[in-house]
Amino acid sequence: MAEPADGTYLYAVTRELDPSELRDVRGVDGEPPRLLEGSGLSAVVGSVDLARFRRPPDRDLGDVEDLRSLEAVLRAHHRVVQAVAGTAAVVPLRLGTVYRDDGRVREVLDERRSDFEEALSRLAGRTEWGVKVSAAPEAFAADAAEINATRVAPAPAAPAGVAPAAPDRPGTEYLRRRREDERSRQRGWDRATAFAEEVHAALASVAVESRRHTPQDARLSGQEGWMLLNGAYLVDDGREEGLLAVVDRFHDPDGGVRLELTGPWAPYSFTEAEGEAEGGRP
Amino acid sequence: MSVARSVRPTAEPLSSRPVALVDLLDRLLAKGVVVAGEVTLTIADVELVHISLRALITSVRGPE
Repeated sequence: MAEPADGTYLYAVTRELDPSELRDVRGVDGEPPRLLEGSGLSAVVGSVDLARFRRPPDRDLGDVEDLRSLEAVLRAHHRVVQAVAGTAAVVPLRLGTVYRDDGRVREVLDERRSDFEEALSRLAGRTEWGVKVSAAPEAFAADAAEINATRVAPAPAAPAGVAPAAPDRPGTEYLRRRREDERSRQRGWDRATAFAEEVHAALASVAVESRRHTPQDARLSGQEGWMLLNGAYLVDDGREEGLLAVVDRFHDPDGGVRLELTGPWAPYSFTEAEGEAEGGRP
Repeated sequence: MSVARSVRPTAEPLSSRPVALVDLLDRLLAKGVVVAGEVTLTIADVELVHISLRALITSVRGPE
């Protein structure tokens, strides 16, 4: 009952890969991934039924069953790419890169050969690691002296024309406190972002390249508090200890600051040479 | 379904940990691409995928 495959899904481009490395994995459509040789490169591809991945434009992915299959697709794509990354230099392709047939993939290998070769040379012998930094807002709250000062002192630098707080003007006092709280929050956020810059700089200093992804949606990540950094670091194999040392140095759960290391990843975040891609902010 | 966990970085071997979907999304839908495919798939629509997964995770965890 299988529908005829009508698309060639491109997972990754590599070279010198032993095809047996792909023996135990299955692709996004349950298909066995295979190697397509051309222009001195190997494309890791799978034959997929496009109807499975397309839907009418007016229909979103609202059904939980659909979402389950979406997650399965993401994970299958990842498994194929990781299987390659474990043994050879790899340029991972974006999820859902599909061509009409094998011939079109060969054309792409030929047209973009120098780009792929440059990327493979740049990524060979290096691994991507992820570091996420999250913090409880209290970790960057004003220190005790500052809190005291704002509580005792009258509003500093009240705008001209605004009466200073007085005990017999509860409304004014309320507004003053609100402004103070707002300023205090802002100072905390400024300290937190400065901290994130410091951590990122320290991590980047032991990496060959680095990227910052957009901080994750709390509803997706399940993290509480502020997500300050969602970084990716391309590190020479054998130099991971340097990265780990930085993570350990800043990781301070008792102080409300958490660093989480993820990886090893295929170099998903580094398929473009530095300078071609913006730092990962939207 | 794996959810991001806060684990002390060196507490266990990383390769044995399940990959969090949200970390995967950051990477599989990253903007940097060497080539663009010629067939557009719904699953490659970043916005749609994010919205959908938010719904999925909420349905798994229950409303917060």
